[in-house]
Amino acid sequence: MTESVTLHREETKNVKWVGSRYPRKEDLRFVTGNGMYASDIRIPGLAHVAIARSPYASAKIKGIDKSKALEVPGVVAVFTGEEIVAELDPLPNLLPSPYDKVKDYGIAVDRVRYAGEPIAVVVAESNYAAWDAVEQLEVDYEPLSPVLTAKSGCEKGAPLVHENVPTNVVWQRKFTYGDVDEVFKTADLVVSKKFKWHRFTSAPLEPNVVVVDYDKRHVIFNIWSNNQRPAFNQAAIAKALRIDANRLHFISPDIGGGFGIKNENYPYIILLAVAARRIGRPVRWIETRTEHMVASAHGSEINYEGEMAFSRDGKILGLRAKAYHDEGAYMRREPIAAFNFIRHATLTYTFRNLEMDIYAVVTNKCPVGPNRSYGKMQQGFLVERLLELGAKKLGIDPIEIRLRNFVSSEQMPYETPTGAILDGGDYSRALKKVLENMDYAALVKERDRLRSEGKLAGVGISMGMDACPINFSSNRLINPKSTASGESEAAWVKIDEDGNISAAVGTSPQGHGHETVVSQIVADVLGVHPEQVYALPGFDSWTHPSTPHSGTYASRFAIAGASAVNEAARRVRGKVLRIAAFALKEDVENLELADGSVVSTKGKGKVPLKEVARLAWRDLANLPEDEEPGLYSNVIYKTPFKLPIDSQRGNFSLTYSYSACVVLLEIDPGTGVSRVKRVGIVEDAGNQINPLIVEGQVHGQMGHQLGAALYEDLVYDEAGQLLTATFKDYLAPTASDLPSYETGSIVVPSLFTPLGTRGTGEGGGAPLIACANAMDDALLPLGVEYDSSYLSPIKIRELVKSASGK
Amino acid sequence: MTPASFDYLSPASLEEALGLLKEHGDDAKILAGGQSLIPLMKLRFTSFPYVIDVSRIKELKYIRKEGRKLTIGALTTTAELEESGEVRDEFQIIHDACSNIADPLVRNMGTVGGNLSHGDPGNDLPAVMIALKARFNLQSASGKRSVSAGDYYKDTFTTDASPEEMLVSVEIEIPDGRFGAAYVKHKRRAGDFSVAGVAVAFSLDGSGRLGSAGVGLTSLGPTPLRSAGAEKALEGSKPDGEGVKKAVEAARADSNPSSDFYGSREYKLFVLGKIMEKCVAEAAGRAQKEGSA
Repeated sequence: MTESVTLHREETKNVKWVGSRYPRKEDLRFVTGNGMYASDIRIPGLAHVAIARSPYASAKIKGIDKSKALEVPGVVAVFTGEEIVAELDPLPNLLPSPYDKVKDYGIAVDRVRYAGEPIAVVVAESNYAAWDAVEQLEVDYEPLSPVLTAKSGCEKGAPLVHENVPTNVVWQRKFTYGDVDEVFKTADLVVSKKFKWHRFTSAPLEPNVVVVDYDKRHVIFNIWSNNQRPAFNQAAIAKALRIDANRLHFISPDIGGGFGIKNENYPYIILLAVAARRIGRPVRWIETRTEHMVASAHGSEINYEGEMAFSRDGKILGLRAKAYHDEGAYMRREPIAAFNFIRHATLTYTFRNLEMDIYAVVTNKCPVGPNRSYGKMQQGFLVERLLELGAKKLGIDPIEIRLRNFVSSEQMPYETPTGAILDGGDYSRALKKVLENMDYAALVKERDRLRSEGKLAGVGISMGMDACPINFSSNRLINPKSTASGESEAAWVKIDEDGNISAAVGTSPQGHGHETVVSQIVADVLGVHPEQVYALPGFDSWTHPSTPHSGTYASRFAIAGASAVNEAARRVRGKVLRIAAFALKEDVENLELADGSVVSTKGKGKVPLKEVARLAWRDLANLPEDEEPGLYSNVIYKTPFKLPIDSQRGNFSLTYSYSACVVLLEIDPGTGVSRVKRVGIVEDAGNQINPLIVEGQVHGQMGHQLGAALYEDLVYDEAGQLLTATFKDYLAPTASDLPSYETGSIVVPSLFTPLGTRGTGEGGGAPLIACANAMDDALLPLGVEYDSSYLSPIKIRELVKSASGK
Repeated sequence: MTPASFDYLSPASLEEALGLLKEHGDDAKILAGGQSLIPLMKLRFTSFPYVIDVSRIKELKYIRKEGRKLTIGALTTTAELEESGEVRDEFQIIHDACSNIADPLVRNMGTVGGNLSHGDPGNDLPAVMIALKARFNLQSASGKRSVSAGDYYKDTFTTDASPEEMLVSVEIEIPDGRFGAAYVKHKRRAGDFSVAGVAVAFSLDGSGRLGSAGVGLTSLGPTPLRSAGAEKALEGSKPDGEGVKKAVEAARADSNPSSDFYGSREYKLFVLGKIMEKCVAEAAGRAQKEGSA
């Protein structure tokens, strides 16, 4: 039986494994090449899929001649977009009318909207034959002029990316809090700046993979994929396939990194499902790296026009910004990145006046999708960059100005102007700690020494915030017709008849170590060793519990997943104690569960867990009369969320983990190349279930963030071709390109989660933003400012040359 | 990887390989380490009816040093060259380049002959061989000939070798007396192709002036380049004098880089100057130690 519960924070007594740096249980199989990935699935009769893609950013498809492709030896079938779509309904989107009519099937029909968009599905006996046939497909295109920036997409007379809706601005809203116009009129200082947030992606090592086997006897689609939240996506997939969602059987085995992008392979699940049903055979598609770069999902790309108002003593009075989001060709999760500013719009600061004017614009580029720190690092960038410029103009030390504006720990829980309720924390302590860890004075001295040698050097500081998980009532602010609210996660814990303990959660990990963390939590509640807990790997919708929110995204595991499994274990524990109490003729209050046995604290003996299990499953006449047999609990944890306060306010996340980062950047003025000489971070994830894993997450976000700042840039040419379609040109860093990280933590437990944990996987972008702030510091002696999240050597060299003449 | 289909041929000897080249001519492509050819085939940027895998030809896998002369078999891997003590101690410029080619995994596979014969202006060894005035020995079923490194590169991915010819070895001879050489590569990440690369080699006379000089350039034009202008400017000048500035100007004039997201033409030409100065200084430092390049 499944019940719905809401938990409240409580003291956890005798905690042993939770909080320890327990080595990851998964790692042995991963590092010895024994992971089980979607591409490892072998099914008799498997046919191979290659996707034919548009070479144009924008074009009409006047005709597709597949006759030559069908002649290629080994080809089984070729399905054009038109043939596939005949069996589909469009994928749903979040947009209000009339923009909900933007049609998205995951494949083009009569018009292509980005270079790399699927136009046909080729099925063959081998991958080689499939690609041979793709080359033989004859497509008659009529090229159209593409829209390649958000700003040009907004212009009057711009070509329409989707001709059935009135403009390319598919979502626009202005959010205003407090008295913005007044503070900007009366402020002592207003700084204004246009910033570019550049397009990049987290580039997981494993590209997308989908395997579909249609079982016509049972009318079931068996779907193996590396989708990171199949239970979440199943409603949209079922709707598109015009089938009941309980006919979809999802399996996500081990996943080689997701970072949000692997939410976005569901259009391919639909294409393959149609192909599998049509040919009556299982089909498999393995994305190539180039396909991944060109056509999976990119991180967001924004042009900001920002202003921040200050008082003379450095208090932030208000923020006003226009944000033009280049959304790419289809609105799959968007405009969530554009809207996500709202989760922690004011970051760690107390200012109350805010105006955000958001334009979500479709363009002829790869669709934007979730990408680690989705929409959150972007807002951090806007706030922190303007704050930095204000500090410089006011002549206030960058540390001091932050200390003057922080929400203090005494103010917690603190409600921000957008209605976010900050769940505790000590921002000034985190900042001071990272400065202390890094010996800030020495860092500044080193910067000055580098400058005296003729180099450019800068120290940059930034705060970052990772608001999570998602209260889906926020969708109501995007589209008033949305009826969603809250979020949930499911878990079960079972002790079988021999006393073996198993646990499962609906979170579909992508390398996060959930098997380890689940084992630690269950081990503590049931008084056993983590090795005695078998946490089911991956996700299988027939064995794992789930809810429509299940999956790993939005840094939600430590909140929703951990709370669900903790409660399921507690319920099983309760039952173990009741059955043991009955057997021992002892009160439950006098029993303890430790080292695999239930023990009476009053000396009335003990019962091994194994014996309790036998009683519960096998010796039913010896159970208390009102006790249901078995030791099993299935819990759906409801993250405690409310409806929005009004049409533009609400608490849309439960925890607000944060970090403080400091960077020493050295720039070669000759080549414009930046190098991070030192970087330190201190984060507060609340209570850490496994500090080793938290540290790993911090390293991961550091690599992604520094990579984005220093190396990674998705570049399109004037025709809308992605120039950075391989790892030769998309400069994802390797270990040898990155500095050592000096990490640290403080722990201020979350006020709102059962275990005092905060979600922290994504990070809030602090390392990237600190690099941008450091660049400005470095350029200060030249009297110029930098305006992008990407530290492009070429642009920096130009800037240095124009400022210094050298 | 899913290339278009091809016939795979795997000769055991040079003679057999040259026979196959004669037989298939333009329809065949030599596969050595696969560092460049495999990615091109994987992406289907190119395809050939026949791929002749020469990796079994052990007779082309050697490094021979006799006095100041170095002969390298074409199938020597860049890792073998990088790890050779003799090369590291006495031909440091070659070590500079080899240790900067891609990553160790690629260097374990990639060969000297492949690196030189692919004709990619971004490959590192051609500029080094141009600077060292190396000679490339080519062989076909009908004979042998030798061509200087500076004359080998005709266009992007096109060399002086005919479809029936194969590069079999490289010969380098450095003059007696003080001689210095270095290769400086500017790149974004470890393992990347260069934004620009410069190889310089020269003798140093008793008065500290440069004698005969060689200058090779990477990623600065449609082919690996020799800058005769820079060589001329360096000759007779001091390694820290005006001659270097003139050499930079001459090298810029001899270059013709295209603008891309690694840099505009102007940016690359600027970087060329920066690394050339560094390269000449490095080579001059080495020239102080007699008998080393």
